[in-house]
Amino acid sequence: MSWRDVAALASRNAGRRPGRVVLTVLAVALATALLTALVTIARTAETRVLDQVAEGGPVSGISVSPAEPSEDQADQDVARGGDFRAIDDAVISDVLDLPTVREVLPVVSTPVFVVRPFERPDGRRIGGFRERAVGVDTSRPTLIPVTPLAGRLPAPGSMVDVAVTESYLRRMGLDRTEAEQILGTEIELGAGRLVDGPGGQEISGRWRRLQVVGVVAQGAGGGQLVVSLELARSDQAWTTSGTDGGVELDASASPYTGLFVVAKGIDQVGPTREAIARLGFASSAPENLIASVDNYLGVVEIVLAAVGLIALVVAALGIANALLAAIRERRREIGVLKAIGARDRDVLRIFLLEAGVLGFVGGIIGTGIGILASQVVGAIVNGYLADQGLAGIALVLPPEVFVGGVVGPTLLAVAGGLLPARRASRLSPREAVSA
Amino acid sequence: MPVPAVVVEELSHSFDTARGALTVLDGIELRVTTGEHLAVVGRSGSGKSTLLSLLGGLETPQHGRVEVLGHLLGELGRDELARFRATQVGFVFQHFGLLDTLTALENVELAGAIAGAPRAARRAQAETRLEQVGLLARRDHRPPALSGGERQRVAIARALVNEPRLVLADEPTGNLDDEAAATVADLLASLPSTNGATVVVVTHDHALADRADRVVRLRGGRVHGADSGAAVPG
Amino acid sequence: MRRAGFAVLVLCGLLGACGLGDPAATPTVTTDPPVVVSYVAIGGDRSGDDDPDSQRRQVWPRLLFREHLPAQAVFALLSRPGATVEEALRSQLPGALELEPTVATVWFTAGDVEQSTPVDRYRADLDELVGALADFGADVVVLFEAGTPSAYAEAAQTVAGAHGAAVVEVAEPGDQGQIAAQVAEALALPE
Repeated sequence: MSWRDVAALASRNAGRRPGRVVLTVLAVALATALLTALVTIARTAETRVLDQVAEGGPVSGISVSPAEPSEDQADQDVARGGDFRAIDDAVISDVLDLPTVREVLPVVSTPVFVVRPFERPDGRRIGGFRERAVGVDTSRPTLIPVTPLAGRLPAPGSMVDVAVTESYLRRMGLDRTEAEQILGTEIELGAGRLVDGPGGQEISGRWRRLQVVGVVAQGAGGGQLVVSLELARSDQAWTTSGTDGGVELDASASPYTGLFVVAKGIDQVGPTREAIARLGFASSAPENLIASVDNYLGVVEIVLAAVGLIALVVAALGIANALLAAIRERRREIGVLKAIGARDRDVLRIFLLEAGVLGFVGGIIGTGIGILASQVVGAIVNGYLADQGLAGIALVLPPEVFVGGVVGPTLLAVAGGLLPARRASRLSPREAVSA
Repeated sequence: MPVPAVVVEELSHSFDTARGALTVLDGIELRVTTGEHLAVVGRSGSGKSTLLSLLGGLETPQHGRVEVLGHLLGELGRDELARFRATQVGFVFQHFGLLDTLTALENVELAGAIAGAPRAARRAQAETRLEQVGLLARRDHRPPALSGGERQRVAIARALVNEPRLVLADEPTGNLDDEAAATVADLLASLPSTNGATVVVVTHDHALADRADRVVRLRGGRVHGADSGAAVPG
Repeated sequence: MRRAGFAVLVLCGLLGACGLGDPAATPTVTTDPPVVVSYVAIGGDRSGDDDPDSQRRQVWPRLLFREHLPAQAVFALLSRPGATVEEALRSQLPGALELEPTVATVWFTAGDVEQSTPVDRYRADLDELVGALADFGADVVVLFEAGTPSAYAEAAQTVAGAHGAAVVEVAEPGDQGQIAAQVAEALALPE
């Protein structure tokens, strides 16, 4: 029999037991849908991470400290600084000249006093406190390793804008979902410096009124207040102009208290850190953390993929079972086919094709449902992210999902149909004349 | 002397059952002349169907020699036997053996497809055979829409589509009323002259057996009597 | 099928922890044109309480800074209770000039009256101090308390007049808000 004749016969047989066929196809479809949805969602997440890493976003960032490196610096995630070493504009230019470096973001962290607000939004009085203001170049927001929860970052060069962190929110008795409430409030902040007074050393404050323009998710360089680089440098200069050079108030003598260096990709983080160590500076990078997160995610991926595959295998077993039932019912028919001349392989092909058709149809339906389901999950995730004040995601539909979602179940169905089809092919033509 | 279409010598066959081996055929000797219309009669369990299966290559003989149309069936492999069944033999079953999912024409054509006939040729041949059995008008009906007699005539058309030299029929009128049975009997009786085929019919339908050139009776696994056109005792 | 699965929460956590938020979510805005106001409060009266607790008591220079000066203003409270003008020339003026003041308030008398500084000496020191601030380009306001011995009060007014500084006579030294409003008025600042 030609393949065309076999296909015609197999497709006719598929319509013979509509109930059974529908249930079998449904099982395949659901398994395919599960796998497709898992793969799509997983791939979306993975793609975003890989994109960030590959494009040298904040994930491949390195923090440089104003200190000499320890000997095993490159193997450490955390900066193990030696003696103090100032970071100035010349150092920034040296680091920028490194071939593996994409960008350098200078950071200035300086001690400040906060005297206002006097009370929290809930009316409880709070005292003044010491804090650190962290200045960054906010004209390059994509490089800054913080995620905005509400509002925006301070405008570049602004002397009145401040973004606060979650820990500031907590101090104000708010959680991250209430971040909007803090926007527009004022903070009175002073840089101190040590001066000689009549009664000995005194702290003299220089005060500013800042308006909260944003809330960010992470602690920013050890401070709760993110300001423009200019503001932080001005306050740092004030504090270090004191009689003790700012030591008493814990101001750094380095013009920049740190650099955030973005390497050209995650694979360049190691070489860049070595080069920075050669320039004489300690550095830290979460590369080992990323690696372990990546490994962990790998395990999760495998488990989820296995869940989907198990579902598909179960569906394939369903196909095998349906075919076995069909063969039991159709013994005489198979006998007749053989009696009128069908060879073993003709019968084998008929049943394999029937299995394949079930898998193929189930795969198409399942891929469609799966993509739909991942859209729904994507919408739910985006809702969750929006609630948390995080940016949403766009679904990634890998082309192999479409191909794999149809070819995979078809092949698995054929594999599942192999045993029953073989059994059918070995049936004796004598079945045709048995009573 | 006419060329024999079928030569059976010392054919014995048994089945394994729970109570041990059951001998169904026991030293059968039989010759069927080319163009002959032979009826094989006997009680249920007398081995009629087994003999037919062996003649049609549905089974391979355990002992003895079965030569059909020049083929020694005991020496053919599975694929050769399949090819033999597809091209040399036409089968007619008591239960018709039609596929409900195919139309009458497609059922007839299926045998051509299995034999590997070109599409156009087998379609034409199928239409010719349906016409021969008087069912061309019902070519697009599926078996459930046909009467028993019509179904058996479609089955006969299918048996003839590859122009076999031997037609084997197993109780072809067993499920039919008298009128339909008579029509089928007429058809089968006409095959030697119209199609040049040798016909072997297994039956316990007297009317059908009466139409044969010769009747052999199986009893206890052996052939008894080889009358030509003789009446068959009940 | 390459490594391909994350739980939803893992995904959310990762996006949060690694700062993978959409960069478009951090818009930048243009900087306001800098209206630099640098205000220094110099003196020896009670306004000089700069310890954290008194900051909360809302002394008038702080109220002036907070409620009457523009948002971009910086402010330093250099006054110290009981300080004389002579001391201030040494301990307050250099710091004040470092801040490049555009606005300065000057309120002495209590310390000098208490220490009986000769009026001529007081006038000369105050002249040097206000002169230095005015020469720098700061809008200067000289304050004195109603009831101050007339010689000192006259000296303060004379010095102020000589340097084009405004004068505020404080009638209610306990009413910090009132003092801040008076100074703002003298500087022609918004209420």
